[in-house]
Amino acid sequence: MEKAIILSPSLINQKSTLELIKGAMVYLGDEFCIHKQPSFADFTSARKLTGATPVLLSTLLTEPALKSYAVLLSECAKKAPGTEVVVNDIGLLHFIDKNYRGRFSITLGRLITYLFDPKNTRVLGSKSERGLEGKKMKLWESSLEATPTPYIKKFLKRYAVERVETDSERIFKKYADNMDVKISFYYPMRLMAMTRFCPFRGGISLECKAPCGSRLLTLRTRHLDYPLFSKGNAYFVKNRLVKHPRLDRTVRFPFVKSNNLKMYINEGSLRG
Amino acid sequence: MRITIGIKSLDEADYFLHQGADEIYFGPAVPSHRASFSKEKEILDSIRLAKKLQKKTLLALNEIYSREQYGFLLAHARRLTGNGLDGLVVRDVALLEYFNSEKFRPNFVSSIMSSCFNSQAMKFYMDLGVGRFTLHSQIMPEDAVKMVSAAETIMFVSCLFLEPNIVPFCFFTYPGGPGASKLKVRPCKAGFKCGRHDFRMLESNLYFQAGLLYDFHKLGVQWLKIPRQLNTRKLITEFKITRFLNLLLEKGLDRESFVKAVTELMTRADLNKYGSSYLIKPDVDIPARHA
Repeated sequence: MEKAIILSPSLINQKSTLELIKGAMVYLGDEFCIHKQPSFADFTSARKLTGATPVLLSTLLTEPALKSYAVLLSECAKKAPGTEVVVNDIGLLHFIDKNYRGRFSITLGRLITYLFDPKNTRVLGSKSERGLEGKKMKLWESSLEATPTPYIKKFLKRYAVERVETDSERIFKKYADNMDVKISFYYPMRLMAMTRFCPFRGGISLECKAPCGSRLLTLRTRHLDYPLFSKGNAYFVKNRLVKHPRLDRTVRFPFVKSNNLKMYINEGSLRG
Repeated sequence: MRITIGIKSLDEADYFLHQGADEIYFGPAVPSHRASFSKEKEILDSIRLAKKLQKKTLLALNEIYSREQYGFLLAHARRLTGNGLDGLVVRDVALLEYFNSEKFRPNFVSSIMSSCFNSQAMKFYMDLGVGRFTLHSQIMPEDAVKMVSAAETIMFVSCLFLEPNIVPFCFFTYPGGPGASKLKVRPCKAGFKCGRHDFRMLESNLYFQAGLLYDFHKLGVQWLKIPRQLNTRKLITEFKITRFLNLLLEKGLDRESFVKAVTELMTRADLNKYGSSYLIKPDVDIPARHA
């Protein structure tokens, strides 16, 4: 089974990075922040560092971020064709399909698989073991939030998708039981929410030097019976590795536990 | 800008259409859904009323549906468009493709849940027949120039609706839901502890929100959207605020004065006194038509 680690471009040139990677496949980029998307120079550095071609990991891209990503793809198409791209933005998927079909290996990231199946699943550590699935739902509600499998099959073929990714056991099983696509699983954190209101910057930043680094904040409230974690522009809960014969890649991110973030209170108004 | 507002009853349709809404939208007639009409007849009456007043109507199919529901949704939407419905709000790409395959191609409007953050995402949805786009509330005017010029666009009234997290990628349960039985507010509004420090999920402030509204108006966004909610009194207040702010924008107020006006108005209006949008406070509060 392959092991992959997500590396923000700013980590590439740090001394301890090789130790951090420990021979894992490098996912270069970020799923939740436009400011942690790699340039071609980052791509080259990562390749030089590890001796292997990194996987490009993308997020939801604003127009300027998409423009920068297009430059990266243009270079990679010429100098590193076949590079795997984890696509989390439906616009990026459309862009690659129209301009570079067959030049990249396409993986649907966990945001797009959630776009098809956004129903929440249980939270590990919560006393409510079955999460939302345990709630008695009205008949019409219970069948919502799940894109039909035949459509997804067609979609994967239409966009030449070779791999899908998720952090949800339920979504994993849906693909494993019904489709022959490769499947990756993210752990030990499962996504709960993402935002552009960055807690480390105090708002939405149009420019950023990523002061968040690899910090992972543990958040507790008496209102929730499970801890929440904040990293970069996303919130997570604990996740458990799925055990399944179809699992052929795990993806994790490096983190440093941190408890000393001084919050920006109600200054969430950066634009610049 | 024109105003589109989500409603849940014929009374609300009557009130908002007569008070200046340019468009109403509503969910499908599904028994037990508290933010929707329960009977198709009420929807048809609302469409008729809007037609009479030369206003528009949209059916919001703002969910991901299972295959078993497609037939019902298609027949329901066909009957409504046959009776004058102007279009459908859709987020589900599979449903859009199904409608296309059934040669049902009314005006499609993308929902905020479509996760449309750039002009290429718009092209993806345009290929499926979408002609009007709801801008995500976490897209900034600086990011949206190309999007606004590419098609007709809708924005939420920033000072009334700007969620701290990005939908549809927010998986927190509602207050009282599994694992959150002690929660009185949504997790994004709750107070957390990070070690010994207080932590809250970051929100924007009124100055920021007012600036967004002003800048998007200048950019050329055509529609202001007020989302459906169970709390009717709050919905009415939000509508009145929107109408007033829209008037200020149309009058060409400068940015600084507009921002000041928004902050003063929102502070005075104090929407907190109405409680959450999710509180069930149905139509009883609707004032007389011309009040």
